[in-house]
Amino acid sequence: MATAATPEQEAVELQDRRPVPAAALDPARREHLLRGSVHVIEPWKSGVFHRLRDVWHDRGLLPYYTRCCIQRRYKNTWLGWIWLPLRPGLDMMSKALFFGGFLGVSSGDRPYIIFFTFGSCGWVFFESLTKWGAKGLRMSNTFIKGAYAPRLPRILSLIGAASFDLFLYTVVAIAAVFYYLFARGTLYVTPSKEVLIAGLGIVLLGAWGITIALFTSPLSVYARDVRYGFNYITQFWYFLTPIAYPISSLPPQYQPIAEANPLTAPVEMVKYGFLQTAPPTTKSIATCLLGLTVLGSIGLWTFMRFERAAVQRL
Amino acid sequence: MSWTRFASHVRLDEGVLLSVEGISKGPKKPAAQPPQWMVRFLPGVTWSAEGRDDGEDFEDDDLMEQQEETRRSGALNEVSFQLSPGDGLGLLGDTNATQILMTLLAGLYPPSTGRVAIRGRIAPLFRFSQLNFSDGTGKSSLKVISRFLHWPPDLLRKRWDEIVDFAHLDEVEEFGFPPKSVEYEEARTKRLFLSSVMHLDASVYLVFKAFAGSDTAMAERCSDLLEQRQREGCAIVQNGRDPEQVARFCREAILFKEGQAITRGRLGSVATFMAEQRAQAEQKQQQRIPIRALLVGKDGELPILGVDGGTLEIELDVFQSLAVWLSLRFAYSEGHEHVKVDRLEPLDVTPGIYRVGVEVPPGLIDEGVYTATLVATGRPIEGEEGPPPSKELLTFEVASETDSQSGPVFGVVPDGGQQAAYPRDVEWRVHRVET
Repeated sequence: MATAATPEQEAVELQDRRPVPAAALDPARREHLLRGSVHVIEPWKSGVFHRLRDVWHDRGLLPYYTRCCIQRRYKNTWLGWIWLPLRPGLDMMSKALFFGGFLGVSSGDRPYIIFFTFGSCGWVFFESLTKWGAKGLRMSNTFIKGAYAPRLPRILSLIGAASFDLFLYTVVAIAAVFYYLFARGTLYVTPSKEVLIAGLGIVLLGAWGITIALFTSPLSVYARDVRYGFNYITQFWYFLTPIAYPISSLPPQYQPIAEANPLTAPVEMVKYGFLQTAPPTTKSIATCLLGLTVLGSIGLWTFMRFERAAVQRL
Repeated sequence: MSWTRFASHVRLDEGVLLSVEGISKGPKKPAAQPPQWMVRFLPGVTWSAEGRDDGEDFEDDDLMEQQEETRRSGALNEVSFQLSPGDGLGLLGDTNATQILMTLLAGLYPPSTGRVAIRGRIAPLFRFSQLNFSDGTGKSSLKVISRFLHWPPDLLRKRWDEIVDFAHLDEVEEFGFPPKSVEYEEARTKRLFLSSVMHLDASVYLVFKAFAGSDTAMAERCSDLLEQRQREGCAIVQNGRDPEQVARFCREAILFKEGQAITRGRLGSVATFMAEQRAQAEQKQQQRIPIRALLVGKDGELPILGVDGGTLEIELDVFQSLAVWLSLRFAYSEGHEHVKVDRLEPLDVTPGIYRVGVEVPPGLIDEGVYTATLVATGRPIEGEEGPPPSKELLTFEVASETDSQSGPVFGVVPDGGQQAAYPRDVEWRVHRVET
């Protein structure tokens, strides 16, 4: 009958089994290993510089985050990816029918649907960023599971998802242009160098969207009311901004108020770039840039201050 | 991973591949509270991260399911060591501490304090599920891992053929999984994952419990290649349950207890120390436990009964005079108790061995798969001599479970709220076997 080995016997056996003395190593291979670059793993550090470095360091994951955001839009649906083009199509049609058909909003010498779809493109970019930005931190743990991943890249990855929305709405707008080209033989939108101004307007709307997301994403983890509340604020903001109507159609006493809206300038830039409407006023542009600088800085500080504590609550 | 960065200014000692300096990870912190000004500003708000279930936000439901996965608890205190080419270090003892240390070395979490400096690349030979951040399978999931861990961008592109060859995917077809099934894809991806890690040009390999989660053939192939890499000069860190598990690659070991590294040395001497510690702990445990289960069913499980009912039995070894409460519980899954049958009166027992059985009558049970648990809770009888009361002594449970995946077990499907109607429908039998 075999007897169990004592701890001392087991220890001797284990010592005898370990080979690889250092002298046996291949000198060339050893030299190669010891010439490798050094990298370090250190505790988490606070500060804007470190968060921006997170973004650069995790830039390889941005396409993955973006893909996750887009896939969420049709996850658990019966129609699947068909919802991707269906949603902007239905949205544009219903709003264009309401404003252009029932309310008879003026759109100059072009069909209302073209005025509306091009005017809405920039807003869609902004709205998508604010909507998904408010959920940004709550969604973050489902993207990378079982490990810590920085959160700011995930918020910025929403730009990719919002750009996809912008692309879809732009496709609808271009489809409307081609419809009228074949139906009436008139090209209502002609490419020009002012398109660059439209691009700048979209960039400004994107910056505003990210700024808002920097506030709402950590705070909505503390209280979901922030997200629900901001959805209604966005809707209200939509009607205050001259998207579905030209700013000139407002009564004169209300036009200065509309110009004080920081989103008026970028929306007007988009319309000016695509549709050659009146350009935004200097006052309107100044309001936009000043608001963006001030709120952007505060938003970044808010995000730095609350994101780590907020994620602990998830 | 912002805490992982290339650092030309960090100087490693000559001939060192991995340097760990005073690395710690704190225990899980309580959920952070909102700032006071926010609470004052919105006094009526419930400051909950979970909110209410509105049935619309399916992404939030996913999030809730993943909460436990993404949270890590436990602690690791002030660990330091260095590894040179060809070294092998085993991490033994406190499973929580060794696993946390492995995840910190792999860069999955930032440490609370300290610093890890690595010359070259570190390759984590973990379970695929530990690093499968995306929940998918196949090459796409490997790409996410690759990007997260900052593997060379061309690894999966340029060396894919080598990776597939090393994985021997044709062997997976012999496992018996239906082609294209989830299990089949997972088995293939696990192999591809290990193969990818083995093809990293790494200087340090982290081996998680002797290739846990991998099939034997693949684990053996990886072990052989790893031995070759160690001969070429790569260093290895491996965690394990016991010294035998890490003996193939490790000459030295660190023993952890409650988050602290309590000893370090050659594997043999650490093994001796560990065996002594275990023997002492077992002896101490024997002295402290006033009651324990001796016999539970035939194979260490409660016997499986059919719809006709039957008897469940456990044997209790009682070391001191106790009042024992008995309880039989059925649950669909952990935390979802459906039927609880208590013996209302406590049973006074003196030291000895007792056989405790419960007769489950026919008619109460339908077919179904349940976990059956027989629980004995012992408390010292007032006025009796014995060890001074402590938390462990005042309420001590022994439980035995059977989780039958194989067929009908218990099925008691009463209407909700009828649990209290059953205590007298079962018959408890207790008799002393020996003193």
